[in-house]
Amino acid sequence: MGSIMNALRGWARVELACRYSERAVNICARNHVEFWDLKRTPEGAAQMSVSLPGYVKLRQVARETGAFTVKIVRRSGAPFFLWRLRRRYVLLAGLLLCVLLTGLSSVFIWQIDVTGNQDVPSSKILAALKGEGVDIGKCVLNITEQRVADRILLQIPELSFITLNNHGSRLEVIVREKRPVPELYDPDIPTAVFARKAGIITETTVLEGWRTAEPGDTVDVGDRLIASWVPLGAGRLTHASGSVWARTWYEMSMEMPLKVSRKTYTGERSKRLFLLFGGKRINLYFLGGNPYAGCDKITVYKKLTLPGGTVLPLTVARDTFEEYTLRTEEVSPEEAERVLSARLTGLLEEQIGQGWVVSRDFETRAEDGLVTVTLRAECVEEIGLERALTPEEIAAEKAGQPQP
Amino acid sequence: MRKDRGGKALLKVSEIFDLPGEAGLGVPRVTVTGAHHVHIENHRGLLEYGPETIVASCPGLLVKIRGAALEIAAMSDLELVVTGRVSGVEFVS
Repeated sequence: MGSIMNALRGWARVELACRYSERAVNICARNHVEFWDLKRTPEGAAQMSVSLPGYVKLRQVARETGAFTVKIVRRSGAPFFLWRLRRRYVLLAGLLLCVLLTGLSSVFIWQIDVTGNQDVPSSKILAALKGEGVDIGKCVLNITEQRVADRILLQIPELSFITLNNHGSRLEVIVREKRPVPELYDPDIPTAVFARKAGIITETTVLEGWRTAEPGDTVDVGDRLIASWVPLGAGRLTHASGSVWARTWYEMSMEMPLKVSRKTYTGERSKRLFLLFGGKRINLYFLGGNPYAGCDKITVYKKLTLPGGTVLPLTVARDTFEEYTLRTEEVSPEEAERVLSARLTGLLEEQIGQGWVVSRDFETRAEDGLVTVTLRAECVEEIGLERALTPEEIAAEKAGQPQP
Repeated sequence: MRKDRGGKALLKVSEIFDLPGEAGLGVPRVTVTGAHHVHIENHRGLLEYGPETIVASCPGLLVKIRGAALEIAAMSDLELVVTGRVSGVEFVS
């Protein structure tokens, strides 16, 4: 880090000629001349490195005391480099223009980063920001962060907090989403347990309410399994809950053709560079369009940034086209059966939820170049679904309850 | 002679009250880090320097650093940093 700072500030290697070089060094130290890497030359002179301000001071001390003479051995660093370029006007003008453009570009937004969102997509937030005048290429001076944040919160009710932090040409948007309100257990709301699926009841556990389906009963989807009305004494409505297990049956089928198309990459590849400047595309090639009849296109973007994180309004991107040919392949019925069986098994497990498979049977049929696999399975699963009752259902419960 | 006696008295007082001598009394402080770095505070200038020997004048004593490829890495009117392969630091009263 020190060497970088010295390179920026400029430094010189100087030689102090004096009868006693120790005396010259002590004079320098006493007069607060900063120096480092002091060495004695074979001739007895002191050689040291000094910064540019230190060199100016050293010359002044040498002149005032007359104790030694100063000779520059080597000069290095940005000031000396720029001094050598002082007559190259076009180059200096270009450098000045570059500095000006870099400074000017930092008042425009060239990158927007959205962080903190999980369920609300970034595209939705960016679209809302665009509607408020915050977009790539817009001037940051025209944006009032607090006003934009307030309006975005009104537009996207899923957000609880949003802040816009401007880091030069990069706008950081930090959001927090609202937590969903948990479903509260309210014992005063009358509920009943209904059948989610059709099946034969094997076991019923009632925590609250009145059992209306016994083990061995066959139930259909929507049948009431645990009633809300408890007909004991004068009778009362309850928040019915419990679990109901039942034997269920599934039958599902899937098909697969015996001829499938597969990609085969030929190894041919074409690359095209282009630039993105403030959302505008500048092609660095002449012929457009897809170079191959069948190809995959992969685009890689690289945003240019300065050291320190300042984003430049330029993105270098590359399209890579990889050619492929489609080849028709025959799939054996055994392979098709294996693939379809695995898919059907996965689908069945997704549908069961809480429960297990008791038995399963696959039936395979191949005709007209198509393989059809049918899965028939018997399962045991929890089929109870707790639901709040409507006023009509409450009245029906009170009217038609079985007597204890 | 009187000044020397005064300095000794002050040093004695600082020892009694357990005060750091280098802070107010100008007593030199020599810090050796490994065998390659010597830091001298409160020096009064160089008397001799070279790749094998560096002698610094300090209040009341001389600090003689011996070694090989010795260099003055940095120097100000109060501090002196010597780097190189240090083989010994000697105090000459």
